Amino acid sequence: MRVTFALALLLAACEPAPSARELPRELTPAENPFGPEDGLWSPQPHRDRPYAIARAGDRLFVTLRGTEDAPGREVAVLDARTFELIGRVEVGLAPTAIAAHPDGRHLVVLNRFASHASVLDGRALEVVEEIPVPFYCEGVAFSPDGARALVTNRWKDSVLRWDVRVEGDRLVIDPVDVLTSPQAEVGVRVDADPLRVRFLDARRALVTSETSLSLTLLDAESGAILAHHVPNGPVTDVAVAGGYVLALHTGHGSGHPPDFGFDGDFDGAPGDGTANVTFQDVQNEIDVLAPDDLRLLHRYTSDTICCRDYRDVDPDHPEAGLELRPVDRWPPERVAFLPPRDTWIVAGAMPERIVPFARPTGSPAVAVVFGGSSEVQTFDLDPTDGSLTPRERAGSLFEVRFGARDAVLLEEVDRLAVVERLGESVAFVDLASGEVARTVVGDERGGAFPATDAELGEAFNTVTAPFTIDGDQSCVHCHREGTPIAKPVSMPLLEAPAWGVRNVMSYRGAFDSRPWFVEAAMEEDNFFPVINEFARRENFCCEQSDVRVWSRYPSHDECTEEPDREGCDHVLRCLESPPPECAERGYGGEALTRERHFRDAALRVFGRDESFGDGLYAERLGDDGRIERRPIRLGFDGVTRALGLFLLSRPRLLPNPNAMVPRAEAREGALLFASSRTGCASCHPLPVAATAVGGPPGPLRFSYVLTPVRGPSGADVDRVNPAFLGTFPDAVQDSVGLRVGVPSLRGIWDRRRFLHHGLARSLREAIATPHHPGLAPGERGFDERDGQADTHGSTSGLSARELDALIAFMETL
Amino acid sequence: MTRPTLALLALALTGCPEGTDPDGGSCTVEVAVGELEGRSFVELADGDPVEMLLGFQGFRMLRFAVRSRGPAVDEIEVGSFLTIVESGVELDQRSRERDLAPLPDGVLLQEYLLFVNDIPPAQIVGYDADLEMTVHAAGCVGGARVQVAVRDDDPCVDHGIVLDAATRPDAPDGGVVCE
Repeated sequence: MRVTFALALLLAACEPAPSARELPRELTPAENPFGPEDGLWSPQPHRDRPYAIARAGDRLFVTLRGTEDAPGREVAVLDARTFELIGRVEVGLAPTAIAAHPDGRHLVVLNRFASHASVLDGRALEVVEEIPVPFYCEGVAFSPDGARALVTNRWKDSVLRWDVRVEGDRLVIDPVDVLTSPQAEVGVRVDADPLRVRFLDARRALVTSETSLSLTLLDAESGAILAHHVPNGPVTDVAVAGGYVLALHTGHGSGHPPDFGFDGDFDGAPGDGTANVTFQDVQNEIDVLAPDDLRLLHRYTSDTICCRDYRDVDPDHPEAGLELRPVDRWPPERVAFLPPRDTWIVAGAMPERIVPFARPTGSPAVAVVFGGSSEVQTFDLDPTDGSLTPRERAGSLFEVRFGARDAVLLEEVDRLAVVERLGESVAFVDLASGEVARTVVGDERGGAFPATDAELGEAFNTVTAPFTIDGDQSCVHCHREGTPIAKPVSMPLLEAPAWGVRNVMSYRGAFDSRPWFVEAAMEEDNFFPVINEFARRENFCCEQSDVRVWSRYPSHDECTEEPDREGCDHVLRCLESPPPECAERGYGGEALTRERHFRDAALRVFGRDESFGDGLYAERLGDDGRIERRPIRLGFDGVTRALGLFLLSRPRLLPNPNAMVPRAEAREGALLFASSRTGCASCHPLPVAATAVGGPPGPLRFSYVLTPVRGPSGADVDRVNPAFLGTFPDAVQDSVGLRVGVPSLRGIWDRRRFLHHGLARSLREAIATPHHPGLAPGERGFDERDGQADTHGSTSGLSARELDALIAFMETL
Repeated sequence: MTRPTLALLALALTGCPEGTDPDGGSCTVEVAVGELEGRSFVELADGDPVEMLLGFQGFRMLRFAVRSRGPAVDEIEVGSFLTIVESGVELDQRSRERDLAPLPDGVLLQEYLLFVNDIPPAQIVGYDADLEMTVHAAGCVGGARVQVAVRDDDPCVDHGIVLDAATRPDAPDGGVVCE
């Protein structure tokens, strides 16, 4: 199989490269390797996964993108006045973005797995033209005068310009930027993975990049980059309101302290996190920017930045951090790094979409759709200075359902139409009362979402916030659509978390790349340290882990020996008799145990606190020797297992356009990859270039082949702490350092950071030796350990052209 | 039952009746729950104590060894179901295990960690708990049952982890520094 694959690849690479017009019409979705032979498998319902929405005239159009392995090819059409479903129109494979032309009639649909965009006549409800484009066009907007359209492209990391005009009943599109060959660059090069595009005015447009953590202002005509805003967090959407630019992002926190430690934002100053560290500094923020230069005018952050978590930095109690265990301890001066209290106004989690609108009085406002908490919050915008005032506070936000993502304003009824991606529906939210009407536009034949245990995990993956202690975080804050953000972060497992960094793992191909993470020590059934950070045990009083409460009471052992001792009733019967400090401490959860907290959240979010039992079940031994299965509780363990099952069940691998149109130089690269000259294939064997696949005798692990990240004393700060090793015995660490599992290279074309520490900014940096002639100025080669080159394969002897060839091949994997 | 409440029940003696395994397994493994003493597997008997271990991020766990007599496999799937006798509080876990030592008649899982994530320590430490364990191995299935007494005599971070307070003042996350 491996030989066959390699030969096929080589032969394919020998073929002349096709021109743009010869691009395959569609990419072939990746197959799902998770099947009935696996004990956790169960049939999953088909879903349409509505994704983006636009309005043309009296109709609403919703792309039905489907999933990565079962993409859709239709757009649902609704009546904007009655909210009723009118029908569907077939477009291209995986319709992802949609925009309506100002003529009120035509729309453009971008089909991410197709090499054409569809022009839709919104009156006739038919596709009237197809525009050739590169694969992975994912965002589109028309200029206010309708004469220009911009299209973002994830494959080429660029923005394509179209000239547009209306001729009679026709919308005529003339692409300015045309792909001349599959390997050519095209359009205006911008930060990797450009996504949303919005026009600031007739001439200028804003482009977001979630994975590159940036917002770009460019000239829509010339393509000149006019300004850049990098909040060091995924920029998920941008809008223009009241003369200001408003950008949504998730904060610059990286898990490092703000005042010392790793300089992850490379500003030259130690420390790059926020006042809070670890997962607490994942926030939900709105930046108000000056339109001309994207200068930051205001930044608003989560209303629960303080003090729901037991570790939160508390400006009212600056000494409180000194009472914590050393690993959680914070000094009083840390409060200086908290943003001003009057900026703590963002009440939802995972802001996905911001929509300007006008209040009935005519005053400007914006509505923000939150996917992580399934909510909508509105803010009044002061046109004199751009400041925001929330209209709704926590507890009174407008509720929507699973996977809220895109939205469009229905001005005449003062409603926001919100696409509920996982819920297969569109919610019509009254922006005054919060009342919601709802229309199912997707596929509920297999039951309303979630209908299976894997879907429970999928729901948790996105709508995580209700399970977190402060309601702020979600899995998709960092794993945007399964693709990791380009921000190395600290992790609690590190021996020196202030200095250590880890690359964010890709969600793709999880089934056959177990065990997971750099340490290759966790799988779908025990990766709970990640979930643990969302809701640490210390937040739940009767877990008896909060030293600020329980250090005042006798130990459990002491109470067992002397039950009548003062305070022992609380120790031994906490659920029935919690100590008064539980209610007085001012932080933590309402539930007394974490299991109760998770089950309460599961009931609220899923409508159930037990699994369906199709994939997640417990086995009991019957007295007759029979094994019986029954659903499991959706406590902390159960929810973690549901998420693991979801990760297994959805490969989420993106079909690789480079493999469909292999570059000629990939042939040479394939030979280099397989040769002993480089040694690549000895650890990353073809066909999938992955040896982390579970199975005897387990994954390949190596002592570091690269120079580890070092702290100020020169210590290896990639090392994990002893407690982690004791808890996850598959992890191996010795005097040389942590042994690292060999990762899969599949889909590496779509990654933005490389190596275990995520410090390599390109594949070239990851595989080149220092000072390699193939490196561009400013690039750094990481293929060395402590000054010895070629420790991560032999690339120092490759010419610059050969290095290019090797990269070209790897980008086909 | 005083000796290991091995609860392969009828399985070990009579073989697995058809339909015993919900997945349709048609052969059996003989399962025993124990601990590793040195390099030797020692089967647990009803009432034997089991020490609660403290680990990373304050996770707590019970450590067992599991002997599976049957196919010599590279991977087994282990299910555990723990019930606190007095309160009825339950805990379950399922996991794939690959770090197996070969035995002449099967395999030995030398370190099996049952994570006690959903039960506060005060509800389990000091109590007796019924442990049911099932093992799936290459289409064969079996189970065992034993009652253990959960103890927490050593409140320190997991055994074998040496803390050097002089060089590393921070305790491992959630752990307790022991003098």
